[in-house]
Amino acid sequence: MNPNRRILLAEDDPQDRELTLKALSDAGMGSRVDVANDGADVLDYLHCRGRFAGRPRAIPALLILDLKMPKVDGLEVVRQIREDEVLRTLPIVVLSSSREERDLIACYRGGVNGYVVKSMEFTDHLRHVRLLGEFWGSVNEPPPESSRSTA
Amino acid sequence: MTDPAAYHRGPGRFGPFTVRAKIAMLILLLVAIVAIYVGVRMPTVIEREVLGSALRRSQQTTAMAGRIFIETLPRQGVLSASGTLARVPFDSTVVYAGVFDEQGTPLAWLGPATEKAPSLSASRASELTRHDRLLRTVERLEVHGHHLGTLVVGYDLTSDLIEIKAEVATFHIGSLVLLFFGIAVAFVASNWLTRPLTELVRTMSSIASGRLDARADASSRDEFGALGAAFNSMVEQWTSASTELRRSEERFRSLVENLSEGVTIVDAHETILYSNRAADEIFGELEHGLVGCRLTDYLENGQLESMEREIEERRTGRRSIYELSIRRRDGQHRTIEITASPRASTPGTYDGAQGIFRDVTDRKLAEARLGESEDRLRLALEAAEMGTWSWDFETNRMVWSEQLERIFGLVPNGFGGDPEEYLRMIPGEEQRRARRTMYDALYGWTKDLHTITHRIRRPDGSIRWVEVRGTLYRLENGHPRSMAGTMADITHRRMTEGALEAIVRGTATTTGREFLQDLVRELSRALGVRLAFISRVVSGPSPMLRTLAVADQGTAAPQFECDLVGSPCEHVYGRKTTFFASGLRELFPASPMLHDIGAESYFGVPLMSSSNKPLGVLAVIGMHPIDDSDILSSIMTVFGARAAAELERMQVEEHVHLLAHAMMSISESVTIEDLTGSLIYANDAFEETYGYTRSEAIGRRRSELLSIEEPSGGGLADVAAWRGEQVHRRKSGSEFPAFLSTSVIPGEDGIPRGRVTIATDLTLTKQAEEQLRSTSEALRTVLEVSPLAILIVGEDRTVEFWNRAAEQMFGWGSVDVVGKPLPFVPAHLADAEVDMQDAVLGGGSITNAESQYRRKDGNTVDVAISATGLPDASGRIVRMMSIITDISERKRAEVELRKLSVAVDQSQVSIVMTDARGAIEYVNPFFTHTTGYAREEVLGQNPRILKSGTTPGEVYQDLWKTLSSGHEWHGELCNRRKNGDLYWEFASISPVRDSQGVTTHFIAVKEDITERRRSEEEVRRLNAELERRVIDRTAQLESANRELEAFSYSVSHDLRAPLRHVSGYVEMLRDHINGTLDPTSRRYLEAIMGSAKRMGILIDDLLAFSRLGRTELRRDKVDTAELVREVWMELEPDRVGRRIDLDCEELPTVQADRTLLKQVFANLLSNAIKFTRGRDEASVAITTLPADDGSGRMAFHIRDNGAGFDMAYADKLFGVFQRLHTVEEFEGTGIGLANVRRIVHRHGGKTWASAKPDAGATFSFTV
Repeated sequence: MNPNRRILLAEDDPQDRELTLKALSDAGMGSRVDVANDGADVLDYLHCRGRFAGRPRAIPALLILDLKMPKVDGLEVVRQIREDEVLRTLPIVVLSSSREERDLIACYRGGVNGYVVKSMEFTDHLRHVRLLGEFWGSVNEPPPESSRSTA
Repeated sequence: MTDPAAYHRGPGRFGPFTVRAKIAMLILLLVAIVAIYVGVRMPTVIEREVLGSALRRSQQTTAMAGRIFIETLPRQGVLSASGTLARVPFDSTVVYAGVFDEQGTPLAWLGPATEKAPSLSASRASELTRHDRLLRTVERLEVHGHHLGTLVVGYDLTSDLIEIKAEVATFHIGSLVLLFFGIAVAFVASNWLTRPLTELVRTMSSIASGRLDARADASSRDEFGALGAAFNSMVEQWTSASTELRRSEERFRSLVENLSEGVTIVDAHETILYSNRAADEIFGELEHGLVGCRLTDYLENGQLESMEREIEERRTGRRSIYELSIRRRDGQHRTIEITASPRASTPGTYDGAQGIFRDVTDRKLAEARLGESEDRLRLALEAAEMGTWSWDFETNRMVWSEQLERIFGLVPNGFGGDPEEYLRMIPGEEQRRARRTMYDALYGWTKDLHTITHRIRRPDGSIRWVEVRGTLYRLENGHPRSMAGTMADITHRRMTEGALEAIVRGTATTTGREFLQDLVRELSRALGVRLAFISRVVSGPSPMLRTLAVADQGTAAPQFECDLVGSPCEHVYGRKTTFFASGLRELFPASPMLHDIGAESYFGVPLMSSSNKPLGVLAVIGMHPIDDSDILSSIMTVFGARAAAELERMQVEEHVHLLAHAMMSISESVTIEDLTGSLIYANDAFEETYGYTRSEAIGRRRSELLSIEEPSGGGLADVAAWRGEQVHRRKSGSEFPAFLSTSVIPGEDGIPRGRVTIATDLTLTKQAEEQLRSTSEALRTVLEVSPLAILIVGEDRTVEFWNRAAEQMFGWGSVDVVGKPLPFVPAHLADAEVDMQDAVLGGGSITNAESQYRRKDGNTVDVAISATGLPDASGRIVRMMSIITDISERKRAEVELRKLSVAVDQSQVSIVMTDARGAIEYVNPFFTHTTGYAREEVLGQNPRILKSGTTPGEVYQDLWKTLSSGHEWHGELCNRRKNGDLYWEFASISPVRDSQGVTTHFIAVKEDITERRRSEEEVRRLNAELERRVIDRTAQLESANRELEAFSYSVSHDLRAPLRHVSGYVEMLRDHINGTLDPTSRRYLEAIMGSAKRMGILIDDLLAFSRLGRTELRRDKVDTAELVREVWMELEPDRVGRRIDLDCEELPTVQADRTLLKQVFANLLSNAIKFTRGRDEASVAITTLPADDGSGRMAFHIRDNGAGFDMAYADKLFGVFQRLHTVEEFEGTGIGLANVRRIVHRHGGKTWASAKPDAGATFSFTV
């Protein structure tokens, strides 16, 4: 796999963002992380528009997605990604505070690849995010960068 | 002797300082002191000696030099001082020499070093400086008081000092040699000095250790020798005294050893210190001896107490003698007598005791046996009704035993002792005889007193028989001294013997009634009674006593008859021997006969046959009271048995006679053959049937006579019985069919005695049979084809005939039932059927009786039965013919009709029936109830009387149109009651048509729906209201739910984030400033993190709780046993290191949401684990019971033995965030039980708890 494939972190809360980034940096992949501030930002990133207009067109190896975000929320982002011919293969892992059954069901129905609950215990949180990053960013073989469906 | 231990000290056990060592040490000390003194003192002496000589020498030399200078100096002046000095002949020891003037200026110097000017005021001086080994001498040079100068000379002392050292060394070596020599001398001298003493000690030790022949050495002629001699003589004396003592002890010991009594010595603790052979033997311990044992080891059960009592007694200093039962080790029981004397060294103490033991077992046994044999003898004498007596001739007194006095009818000690008193009690001639016998013996004329028998008259006048036996005792000179013996009461025996003799004599030659007559006669004589009789009982409505033989006072008397009931014999007949000693008349006032003869007493025995059937009564009636029932009883029993045998024999005889008569009178020919086949008996009918006379036939063989062949080939034993037809020939030669029945007469020993043959002439019978057969065949056919079920039942209640119609009706074929009991009678009617058959067979008849029979297929069928008896040829009814009709259909119709009419009558609807024109023919009770009209008022009227006028006309038109077209009409009508009230009816009216289709009736079924219509209206209104409210509430609920969802969504997403941030940043802060963090700051940070974490858990729990209220319930079958097991396994981490006993009884399967129920158990069990934390042995039990609220739910109880709680707070228990313990005591958020309650409530169940502080809690819920 290409160790330079980007990881997109979608998180609206700056403090959560910082904590999660710290965890990813601890995992040694701080440099690979791009950050989106809300759902609309995520879509802009993926479609290389708005403030990401100059970005090279490449699908990231992973989208770490918060659910409750202003403008476009996480579920909507998932829906749009899964409906998009090009983006539908993007691995999405939800990182949310909620462990509500309703959210879990909605996310998996929407087609997410993983769901991680943000732990109250910071050390746990660090560990979980690190594991998440290691697995999806290093171990997992992501779909090819331009994976237009041939089916 | 101050210290006994020292006194007993053996040889070789001295302390560290023996006498020898002390002497040696003394010598050594002296030598050492000398050596040390010399060693210290001598070097000083030597040094002074050597240095003194050197000083003297140097002073001489200096003085000589001084002189030279004095001589030389004044002459040659000072300048020549150096020359002078050089000229002085110093020896080699001078190191330097110099001359100084008065100011200390050197005038001349010789030698290597300069010397300061001497400051000596003295004219002459010398100074020793040891360290540079120099001796400085100063000499003031004066001539005639004129000071010339001062001469200083230094001498080398080296050689002198070396000499001093050498001499001192030599001396030290000498001292050491001296020391060693001193030690040797000390050793030898001490040895030599103490040897006799040691010898003496050794001798004494030998003697002390028992070698008495040891002697001290007395050969030396010093003090030790005298001491030895004195010691030896002392030992001699002591030895001889001790030997004497030992001999006497041995004598004593052998004496004690050989004593036949056991001797033991025990110490104060009762342990045996010594025991002799006899004692060992008594206790069975010859092998090991008793020493070291305790007596208590051998005691029998229950003896310990008395032994301890004796020991206590002994401890007070008293001698005690007592007996003990012991059990030896070999199991033998012995009784021993013990004489124990205490031993006391000083008065008032107890040091133990000596005991003397005697084995008294045999004596005890003998004593016991003696007692037993005395008792036995007394008992034997009493049993034999025997008394003892003795007669001392010297005093001429007799002594009687109490028993003997009793025999003579005297009170105890009632006999005075005079032999004449005894003899006077003997009546008549016998007295003389007895006296003679007695005195013959007394005077020595007879060798011994033989047995004599005589009567005595008791003081009450009664006569008894006694048998006297005795033995004569003589003095040494042969004169009789006394006599002793027994007397036995033999009245009983005598009387029985006498009576029996008389009866045997009287009845020996007779039999039958004569015998009985003789028997009662002799009986009445023998017993001296008024009346004796043997009687039979004639049964009937009132059984009568009929005598067979009567004797009155020894002579035959007329027979009599009387009622059995009310007579004394009533108790006897067939029952048991009965005895009325006196007052008979008072007991049986109803019997005139007893009064007539003045009866007083009665004795009756039942007469029973050998097969134990009552035959009659043997009884005697006396005029006087009977005083000895025993005699009477035995006589009567014997006679009764004899009379019964005779009666039985007479009965048999009678039977035989009757049989013979019967044989003669029966119409069939009866013959009896003996074993050879010859006829021995033929009856009258034989003569008639065969034409032979008896005399012609007897003695001939039957087969020859009748010219037939025996069916069995002639052997009697071959065929025990045979029945069948044969053709026989009469004397006239004509033949005829005969029916034969033969049977062998068995003997008692099993060998046949003969054969009896009964023959019937069948000639007439055959003809009649043939006729009957053809007639009955025809009749049978008629019966067989009859459409009615016909069956015939015989007297034996089995089916004889069963026609086809019966077959069809019941399903059983003729072959199934003929010869068997009626198959179709159900069990519950069996008795009724039997009654019916009895009635018919008894002559009655039955017409159309209704019953219910069972078909073969199990169904029942209702039947009507007509039955009549069928007589046989003699007119006796022996069969029953039944004609059975199936009335099931009719029955069913009847039942239906009855049901319908009941239904109509009871119906809660109005039913009206009119004829075709509309006139009312019938109304049911409910009609009258509804309308208020009585039945009589409406019969014949048209139903339009009920019209209210409010029902639209179209309704009636529709009604009539429908009915006239033959259909049923339904509709609602508004009618008017008799009292004018309107009411609504729902009516169903239908036409009733006959088979031709013509309407004959109308039936209206009408339901009063007034109330229903009102209710319906109400319900409709309420429903509308309810619906509206439901819609409102649903909307409210939905909105509330929506808000709640939004709330929990935002809580789960947003409320946790700040907490996480707090925890995260604090963590990072701590890492960031870790090195510089002081403990207080660290604690603050920990607290912030702990609180954030706790807040997070609270939020999680609250969310879970709110989720519980919203999630959908999925009910399913849940095996709670498995669920509990699962939960318990999952709680494993909580249980680590704990010992918790989970006790689950059989848990049921319930309908519930598995996930939620699991949470209930998880919460409750986790609580139980948590709150039993303080228990070493925690226990949790789950029990179930059906809930007592009748809901059919199960109640689960989870009980623990943990911390419990105060019931005052029980109502708070299930609230959200309610806690009864502080977080420090038991952690938790307080939401677990709230969850439990919410889940249980959602299942429709309830929760409760009971507990006591510190005594466990029980949480219960129903589901």
